[in-house]
Amino acid sequence: MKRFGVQIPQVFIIVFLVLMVVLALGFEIPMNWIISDALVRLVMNGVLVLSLVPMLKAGIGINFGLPVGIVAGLLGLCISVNLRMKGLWGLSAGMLFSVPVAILLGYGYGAILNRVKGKEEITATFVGFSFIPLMNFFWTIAPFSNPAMLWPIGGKGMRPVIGLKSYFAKALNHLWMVEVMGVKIPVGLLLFFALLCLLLFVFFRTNFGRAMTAVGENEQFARLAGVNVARVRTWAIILSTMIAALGICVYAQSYGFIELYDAPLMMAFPAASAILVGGSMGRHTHIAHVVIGTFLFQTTYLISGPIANEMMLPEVAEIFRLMITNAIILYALLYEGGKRHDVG
Amino acid sequence: MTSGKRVPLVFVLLSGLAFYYSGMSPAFVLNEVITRFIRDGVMVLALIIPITAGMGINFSIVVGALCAQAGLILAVDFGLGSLSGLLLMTLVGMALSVVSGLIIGICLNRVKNREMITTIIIGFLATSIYQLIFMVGYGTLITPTNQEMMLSRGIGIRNMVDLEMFRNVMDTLWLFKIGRIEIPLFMILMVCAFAVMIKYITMTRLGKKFQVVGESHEKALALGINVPRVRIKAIVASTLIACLGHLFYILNIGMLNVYTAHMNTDIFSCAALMAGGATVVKARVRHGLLGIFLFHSLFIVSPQAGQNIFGNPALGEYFRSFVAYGTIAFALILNARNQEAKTGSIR
Amino acid sequence: MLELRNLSKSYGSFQALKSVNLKIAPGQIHGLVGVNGSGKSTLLNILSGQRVIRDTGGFTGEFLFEDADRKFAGPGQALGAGIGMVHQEFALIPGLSVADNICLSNEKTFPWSRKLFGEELACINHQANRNTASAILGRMGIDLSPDLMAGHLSVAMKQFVELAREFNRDHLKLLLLDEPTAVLGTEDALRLMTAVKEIAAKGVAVLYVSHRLEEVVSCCDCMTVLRNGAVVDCIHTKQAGENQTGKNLIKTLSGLMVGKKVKKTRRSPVKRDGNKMIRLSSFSVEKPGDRLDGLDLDIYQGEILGVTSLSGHGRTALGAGVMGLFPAQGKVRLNGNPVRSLNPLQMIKRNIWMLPEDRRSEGLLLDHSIMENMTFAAIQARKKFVQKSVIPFVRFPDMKKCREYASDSRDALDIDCRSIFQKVGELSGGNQQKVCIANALSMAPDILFVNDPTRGIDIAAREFILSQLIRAQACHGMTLIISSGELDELKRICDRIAVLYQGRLFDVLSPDQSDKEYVLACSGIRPEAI
Repeated sequence: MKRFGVQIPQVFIIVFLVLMVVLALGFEIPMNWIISDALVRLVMNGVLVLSLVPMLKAGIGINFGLPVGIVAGLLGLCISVNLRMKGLWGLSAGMLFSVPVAILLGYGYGAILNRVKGKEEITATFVGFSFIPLMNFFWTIAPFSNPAMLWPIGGKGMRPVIGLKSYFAKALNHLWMVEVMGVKIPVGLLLFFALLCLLLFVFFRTNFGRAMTAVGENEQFARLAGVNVARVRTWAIILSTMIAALGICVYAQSYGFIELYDAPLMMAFPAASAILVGGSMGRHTHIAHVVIGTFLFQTTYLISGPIANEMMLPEVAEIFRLMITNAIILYALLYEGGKRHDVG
Repeated sequence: MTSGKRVPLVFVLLSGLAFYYSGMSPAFVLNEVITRFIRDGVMVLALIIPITAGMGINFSIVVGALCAQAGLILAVDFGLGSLSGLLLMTLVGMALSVVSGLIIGICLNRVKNREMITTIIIGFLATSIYQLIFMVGYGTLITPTNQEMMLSRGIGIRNMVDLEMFRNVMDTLWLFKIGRIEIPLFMILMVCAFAVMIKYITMTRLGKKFQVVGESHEKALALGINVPRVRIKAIVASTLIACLGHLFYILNIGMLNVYTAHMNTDIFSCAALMAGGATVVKARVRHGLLGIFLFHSLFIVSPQAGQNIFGNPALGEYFRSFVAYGTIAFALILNARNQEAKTGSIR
Repeated sequence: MLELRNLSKSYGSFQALKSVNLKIAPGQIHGLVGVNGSGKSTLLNILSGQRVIRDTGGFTGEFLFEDADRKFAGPGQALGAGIGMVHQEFALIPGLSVADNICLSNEKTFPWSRKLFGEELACINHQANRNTASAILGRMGIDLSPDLMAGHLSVAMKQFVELAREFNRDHLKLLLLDEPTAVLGTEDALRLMTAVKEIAAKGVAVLYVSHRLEEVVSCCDCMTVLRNGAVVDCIHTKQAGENQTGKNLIKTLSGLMVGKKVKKTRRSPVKRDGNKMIRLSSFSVEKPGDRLDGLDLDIYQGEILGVTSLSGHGRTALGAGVMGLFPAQGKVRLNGNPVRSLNPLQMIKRNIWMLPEDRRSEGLLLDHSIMENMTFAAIQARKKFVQKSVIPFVRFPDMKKCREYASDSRDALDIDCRSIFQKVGELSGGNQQKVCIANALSMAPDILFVNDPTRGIDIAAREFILSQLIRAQACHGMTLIISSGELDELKRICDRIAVLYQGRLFDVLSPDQSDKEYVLACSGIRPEAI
């Protein structure tokens, strides 16, 4: 277990989770419902969490600028909906359209982050924050024509929430759904996630992937070995942006809605928190951290809702979620900082 | 050095343009700007000391704001009016902000070079804790004396708390008019007093220490300065000033939006400071004062300008939040580029 | 005033100071000399209360200052006790004016504000500070406006401001000077010494650390020689003066510093005047803390060239500059062809490589296996050990070849490890350096720059690494440029040794020349001058 670095956040979240499962049993919330939903939520958010890995490995830090990638994905989805594509094809088309957008945005985003070495996280946060109102501009004047996406009155400007019911909502969720003992297992969805994880794992075994890891660990060493550090970092950022774009596609189909405008603003923080719960510490990040972290984190999210409802305090769930999210990130910052301070 | 002039110039141009298209009357805009100056001025000034001490932008001034709100709610809860209420909220707010400033300072001493992202997260976390206390704690663990401010279910405080007993205690002092422009001289003088106070601190021995620590930790240590303690002092001072600044803000509005009043104070204050020509490593009082005027005039006129140019007020709204976030992002990028080492090549 | 009794200090297993005894009286200027690594900096760190000392386990023995036993926890306490220090790398705050720097933490304040707000929040009286600063600078014979920014000053002026700051302390009792004249010209050095003498005349004790022996001899009352962490001798100028002239004293001192060395096996130098592989002309490198400033040097094919200097005089900047790790200026010709852009990839293509001096932070991936460290550069830059693949982006390393190379190198270089998959961070310094050498050999360069190859390595491994370097030259016909402060080692394996002084080539000496000549050359003294 030491390999996965069991730290206070993990212990805390596991204890919290066990407590809530006990409470859930007490309130007679059905267990099979929890497990099926937990599996869906794992993938729904897991891809977004996975998108943090390349940048972490390349030593750029947590991608607090996740909205940049998310916006690329949203754009792809919107194009797909505008073409009225349905089912899995619609979703795949959305993903396909979002990739070139992600590469383009990632390139620009990378150029910015390469200028601010050592201050990437704070800069990424504000690049992400300022990108959202910029895109809001775009959403209001975007030349889309499918009335399902536009304001019903006036017919101009995108709706903040676009229902996907008649397009590709749950297209991937329902693929090869198997029911075992009352638990619905979304096999297709899980396979898709596994495939993405495997691809990323294989990528880090290639020469280029190794160079990326080396840049994260020791930039000067990599430079001396003839690696173009700026180029590798840019590609790590593009890769993160691309996976984030795919991530929002999976998220949106699972959720059943495309959320535009300010919705992506704060999405980076739960994702960051999830990977930290998994045991990621800076560049020491494995794919396993993503899976474990997302599962623990999202399951806590999931159970806390109905429990709070049972206790007649629905806001508490949300407050607790935010508090846990930020407490975990803060702990990670302090712990890593403390370690570095001791060495230096 | 050039960015110290370029950024304000861009803001002058932008707000001039937006003002032209908005078609608002100069008197109205000026009145609004004066109000904003009173409301947000001190908050902006709270950012200056941590920047001087090399800790970057202190986004955790939100915590100071929360302390102020806590003090205010307590005063309302005890039903204290007017001066005694003012005194209580100031004392409680200041005590809380000293304690939280100490905690934040200790945290930040562990995260050298990553202070800014840490302060952002601390701000978020403090917001959650605050919400938990006043939305859940009140009525369950804490018994309120004033039932009027509670939600009907008995747990948690209402979203809005009316501050009638404090309204117009300070705002109307020495108020006079020139034409259609209202000038609450007392409040303006108060903000200016804070500005003078911060200017004074930079001229003292302590201020010199802030500056030395800001230039280089290692050198400061070698010169026998207790760097961690100086950094904690900077954060405590900043949190304290932020707390007082937020009291000004709420009292001027006359209503407390319990769960949202503190939101974005950090972003707007910081953007205003940067608009005045400050950078992440260098900020002066004059940057703050200039920045408030520039940033808020743009803020006031841009929705109307958006309406008139594009026929959509939302566009102006987006534009101004882009300006707020974008200014900070720009300042961060610009600052890092100045420090960037050049790559090897024969010139 | 200051008395050290049996003072010892060790970093881990390495003993930096061995029962040092030292006594300084008020008003005395006490010289401290010794070669690199003789323990001078450690001694200064203890006296000035640097945190490094406490963090590495403190020291043993007695440190008496004004009859009280001292153990400083930080520089602040040392300052409080009246021990001031002028640092080799400046502790000036570039963003403050000269006056502010001189008066730092000793500012004159307005009395009214002191009464009103207390010491910390007292308003600084700028005019009074300027006057104080001008007065002190004037006393030192320096014409400098106190309003200038310290960051804009020349190196020499910075040194004077630094000194002035210490002079300004109210209760200065002991002044530590660490190489105060290293960056000064002769005239400035003289002025500085006059100022030091003046302050000593007021009863301040001075500990004067310098490589410039003539200075030490001319201004110190008493000189202590350190060698390998122990005091070799303590010479009083007045007593010695009767039978020794200044020049003889310098010779005595440099003899004491070097000591008698046990002769070890050596490679006999070969004179080469064939193909000039690299010609550098007015080559400058902006490496922070170790810059080259207009170096002219030719490197012949197949030779082992030693490069030595005191630290900070540019020996490690040469390789880093040629590899393009730092901004460089000047002309570089490779086999007669001028090189336009210096960057690692270009240099690797031209078969040039470098082993950096700081293995842990630049030369190794500590979290990766021995095998990955040995093959990384070759895979990335040379496409060696790479599988053939049709898809352009997706190329995998050939694990079998990597394993083969790594196990062969482990056997050839005798690396002590559990397996080739062990993390490099877990190895000892010597074994880490062997991994670096294996990495370099996998690149098969024609020219290899090696910086401080034996830094922090135990004696047995040192000899082995040196023999491997000789082998690389002999078997693969590499041209080696080894920069090091270890004169003895360079002399044993090099064909020629270039001595740098203040970032320039001072002289090229032959390995046969005596240690004394090297010590003098490193300090920028010509033998004829004595």
